[in-house]
Amino acid sequence: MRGDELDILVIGEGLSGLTAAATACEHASRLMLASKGPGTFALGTACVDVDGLDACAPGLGANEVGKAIAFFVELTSAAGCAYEGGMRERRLVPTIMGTFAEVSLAPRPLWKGDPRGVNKAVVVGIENVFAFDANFVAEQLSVHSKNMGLPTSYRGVVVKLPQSQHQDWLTPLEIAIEIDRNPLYGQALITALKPVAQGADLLIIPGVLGLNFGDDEIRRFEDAVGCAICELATLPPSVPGLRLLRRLESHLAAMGGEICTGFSVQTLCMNGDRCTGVVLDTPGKPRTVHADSVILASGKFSRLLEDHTAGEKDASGRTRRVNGELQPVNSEGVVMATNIFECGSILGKFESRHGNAMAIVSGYQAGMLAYQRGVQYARQ
Amino acid sequence: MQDNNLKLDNCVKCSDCSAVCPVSRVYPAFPGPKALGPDMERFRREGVESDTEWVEYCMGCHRCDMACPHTVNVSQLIARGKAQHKKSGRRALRDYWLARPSLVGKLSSSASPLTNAVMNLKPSHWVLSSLVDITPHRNLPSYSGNPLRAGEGVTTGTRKALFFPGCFLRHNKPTVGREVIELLRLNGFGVEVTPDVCCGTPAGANGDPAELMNCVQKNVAAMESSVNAGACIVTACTSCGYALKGEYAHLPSNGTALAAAAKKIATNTYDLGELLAGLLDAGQLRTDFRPRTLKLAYHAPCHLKSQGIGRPWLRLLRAVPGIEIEEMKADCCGMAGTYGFKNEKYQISIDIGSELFERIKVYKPEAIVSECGSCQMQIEYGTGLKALHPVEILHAAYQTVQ
Amino acid sequence: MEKTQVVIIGGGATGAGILRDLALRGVPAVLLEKKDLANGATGRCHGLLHSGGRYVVKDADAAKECISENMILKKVAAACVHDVGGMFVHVRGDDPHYVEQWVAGCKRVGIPIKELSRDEALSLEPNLPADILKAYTCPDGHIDVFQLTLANIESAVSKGATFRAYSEVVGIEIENHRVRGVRYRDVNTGEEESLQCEIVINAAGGWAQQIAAMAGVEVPVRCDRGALLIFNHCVVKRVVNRCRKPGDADILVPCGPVCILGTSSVTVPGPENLTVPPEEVEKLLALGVELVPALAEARLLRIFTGARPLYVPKSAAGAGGREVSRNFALLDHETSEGIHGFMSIVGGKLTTYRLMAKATADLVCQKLHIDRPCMTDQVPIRDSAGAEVLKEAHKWMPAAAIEKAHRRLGSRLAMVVKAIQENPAMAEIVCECELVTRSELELVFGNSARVPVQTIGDVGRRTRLGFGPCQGTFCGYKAMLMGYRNNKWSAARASQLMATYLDDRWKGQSWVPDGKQAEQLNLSQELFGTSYNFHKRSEVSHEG
Repeated sequence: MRGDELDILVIGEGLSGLTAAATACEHASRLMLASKGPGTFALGTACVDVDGLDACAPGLGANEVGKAIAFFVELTSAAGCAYEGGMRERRLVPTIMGTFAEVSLAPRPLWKGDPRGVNKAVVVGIENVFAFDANFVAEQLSVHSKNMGLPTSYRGVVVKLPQSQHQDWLTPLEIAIEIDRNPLYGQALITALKPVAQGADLLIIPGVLGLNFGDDEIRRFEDAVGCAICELATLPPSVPGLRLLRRLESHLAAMGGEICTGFSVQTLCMNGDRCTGVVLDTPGKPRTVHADSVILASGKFSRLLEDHTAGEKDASGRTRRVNGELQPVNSEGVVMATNIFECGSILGKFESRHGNAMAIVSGYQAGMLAYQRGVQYARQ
Repeated sequence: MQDNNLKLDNCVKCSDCSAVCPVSRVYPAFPGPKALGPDMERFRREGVESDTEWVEYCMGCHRCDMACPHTVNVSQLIARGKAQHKKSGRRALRDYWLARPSLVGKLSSSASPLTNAVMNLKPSHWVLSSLVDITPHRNLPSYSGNPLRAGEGVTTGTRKALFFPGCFLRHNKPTVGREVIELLRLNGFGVEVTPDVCCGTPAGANGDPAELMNCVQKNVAAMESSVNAGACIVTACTSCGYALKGEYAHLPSNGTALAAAAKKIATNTYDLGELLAGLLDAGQLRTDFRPRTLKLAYHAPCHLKSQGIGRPWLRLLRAVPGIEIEEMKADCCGMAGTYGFKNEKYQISIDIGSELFERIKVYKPEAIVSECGSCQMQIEYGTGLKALHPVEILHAAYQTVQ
Repeated sequence: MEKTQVVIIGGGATGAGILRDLALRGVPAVLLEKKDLANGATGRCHGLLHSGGRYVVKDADAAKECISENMILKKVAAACVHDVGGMFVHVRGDDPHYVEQWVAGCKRVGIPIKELSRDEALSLEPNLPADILKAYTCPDGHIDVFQLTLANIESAVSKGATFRAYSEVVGIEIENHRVRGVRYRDVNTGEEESLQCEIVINAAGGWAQQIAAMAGVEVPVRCDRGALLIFNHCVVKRVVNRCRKPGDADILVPCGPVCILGTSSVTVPGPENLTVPPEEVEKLLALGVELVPALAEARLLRIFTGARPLYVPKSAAGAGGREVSRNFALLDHETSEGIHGFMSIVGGKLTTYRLMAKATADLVCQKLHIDRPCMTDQVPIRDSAGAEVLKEAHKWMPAAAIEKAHRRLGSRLAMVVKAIQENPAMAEIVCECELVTRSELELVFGNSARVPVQTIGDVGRRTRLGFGPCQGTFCGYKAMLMGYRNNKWSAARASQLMATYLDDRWKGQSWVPDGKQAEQLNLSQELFGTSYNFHKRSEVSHEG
């Protein structure tokens, strides 16, 4: 087995790239995920909305979407950052603007935020965390839930955590890191939350739980507080997003995938209608990585393979033309590369609310196709 | 403009860089890479007086660069701040010497038994601490009386390697340097050793860009002709490797002869592990290894990660039958070269490394291997266990060696 | 019934300048502005403190005014003026005859210039084209347009004057050919108020015609639109002008951490609902790159546009936008239309605002039989904080933050520092691109703010919050929370304001052609549109 000879290479560390890599990794023995950096999913709430997805993506049957979503749920559960929800589910998750977003899947701590079935919710802010205001969020959630005819009451409270020895204010990320480092700090937060949780069905907190917390740690934390906890994504750097990113990365590594992030892909190496690999922009000399199959998940602003897929451009001036097997095709429908499979926002042309769903579904499909085609090719 | 590789304009303020910074992780008051890098550079270009001591707290690990989804060269932007930072008094004096390990090495090696004995006496620690703010908590590395010299290479061999040992191997662990030469010779290389000039990383880290440039010029001049004759440069210290690969190519002004030569050096530099693992993949590495039952923990230095070459030593050592080796996944050991020696940074250094030390202790290895001398020192200090350069294991595994 | 002596309509630099000039002379006045300060041409220009170089060839009088005011403003408005200096550059291919005329014109008018060789010019400004023929330094500078307007208003208010933002004048009451007062509408509540006065000054710039019509008078103002391109960082250190007949995209001005390229000249029917067509952006960029090639790779942050209010008396009706004189005109409607107490101040440019204000205030005092001289060329508009305060500030704030805060706050920096001393958590930086502390924001929102804020955009104008690469995505949210916490806005109102703010911030970015800003904008819209399900790009038109 040679160093830079891979079965499958995934380019891009967004949700589609990570899903594609995880899918392919179940079958492939040598897989690498290369990227210049993480995708934007880690900056937001990372929720998934599949409602209406099969309608807007031609060639995508509900069956396909279902399989991909089920895979994703299994993946995140195995990685310790479980998602709740599914194809037929709709839930309302609260946000830092005090609005609700209607989604099909969300990370478990956020999924708990649905107001239906909740009588008394308390939004908890932390003193000297400036960029989160519990009263604001509580007021707005009240308004929005009332507008939906729901009886849920929201009130805001502020708790105090021990002063940091280094500075006089706190950020959610700093709290999360401190909780990881110092169990007493986590205990202090639990102690602060317990009285607030009296008589409440739900606590809504900004993303401050440990950056290294897995599902078990979060459950234990909730049990210790004695109340369901909904953890909101804050403005970046957002702890739930970072936690998700790191867990997926670790899980991929544990599955045997190699992760090489921090270096752009300079070029794709083509041999006729086959991609033989990529050149990574590493210091000194570039690093050539060969692969039997390549998954291109480099995002909507990616310029890779742009020349190859000249065709009609969409509103944003970008064009991604793929056939039903996610292979890049030119304007005449000729396959440009038989072993490249595109997924994620690079495909363009979908509603922004479907972004994460498209990423997961196309990522799953690309992962499956890359493996199947890669194996087929190797056997020829 | 000279600075296209800085990519200042690419920053979208997402803070991905600050989220992975080891210093920010343990020291929240540290403004973080985003504030000290792209934010500060905009103010510098505005002409606003923006000097801050905080730039000194950057370790130069490059984790920020690798985390940036938009290829901003964050650490280089911070380095510009370091270059402009005005230091005074004892720290300026201290950092002057810390920026010149080659010079310190030459002086210390020449009087080595004496300097080694005196340096680690308690009173000496106290003197160093109060005079030049060096932490009294650590033992300073000992200097060999028989440092590695330029003439020590071997002339025979089908392929030519130009070995750049770096100041630590050359002055503090020359035995290991000699093992590198031997190992290369065993695999068919003729080896030349570069003259004693620092790669310049400590100079850059201590805000002395003139000294860094000085190192670049001298090293390029010393290595040019061998590289032009087809030799590959081999580094066994990942910081030297990163410097030659990553820094040399962009430091000289565009369009100059020095720039062209430095670029050539950059493209012809190989980390020792990278070189040997490449040979292993090609079936060209001697694999007549003596089996050896040994449980090793591996720590990947930050400057290995920033080279983007994977973990070649894991593959190499796993090729020796009986070796059990696992990577201790930790962001950084915290030493960062001269950083951990400074009084004001000592605690940060230890706090950063504590996760790694814990992981190692839980794993219970017989020894730790890491390609960076700085990491070796820190790990030994933090765990009490022996830390080796992986080449020592591989070298010992060859059957022809007793 | 509310009563004052003078009502000024229009909160741009001129109106603010008049308010202050009168306040220094002890004349009670109220300034009414339908939006926030500097909503018109003042807030939508380059912020160039002219040396006069642009006018020496064609309009020597305007040039003389400029250089004279330039020197005065550097003295009295030092806090708002960045004396970065300027350059006129002879780009290869431009008319050398014009350069000769220009040099001669500068000498004639008295603008101090110095010739530089190409190498000297390039060593000062490495981003100039490598093949420029020659260059000349000149005393151009940059004015922070918002701080200038704000400082004038704050100074006036501290002396008893009144400023009312979001107050739209809807009628001028005239009885027996004499001004009695004005009627204005609170834009937020919709309620109308009356304000009795003896004198009404129409300083409404692009809206001067509309205001004049309320008094049954015609004031011929032509709106001439110019577009400006903001780049992410200072590509030049000083103002760079192209030494040729004034045309499009021939000025690049460093404005704080960004630099602004402009501009164009297109006649438009009015000062509102302005847009910038993509072809114009392309043209401006192409021209800008001829002047400063590095602009081709620099990140374009935002595009904005405003209308120059050009006074076009019947005699000049046929002239094009750049040919109309940039002189100002003070129209005393008593002499021309027989309406006592109504006057209009039109034309001119930002650099001569003080002179325009002086002329107007002189006329006002004449009519009111008040014999007090103008003081605005003597009294600084903003006090310095003093060495003690600055020294103390260094214990709590980063160096760059202090310099910026000092410019914005003057002696009130002491209040910011004191608040931090009492509660160190106040040193937290809220806007990282402009280093605005929580303490400063509290001041801006608080009761001691002389010019209160009503929207998040207002906060931006006082502090530059949201003017950096993120364009308010991160700091705008925090500013919203602060307004809510200070009981300024209810949660619902705060939300509404956030939506309006995002629309405004997104609009200017959406005009930017493909580039890094597209990714920044995408992030902002994904966060607030999809993740927080709060606001998607609306079609509501806002000023760019």
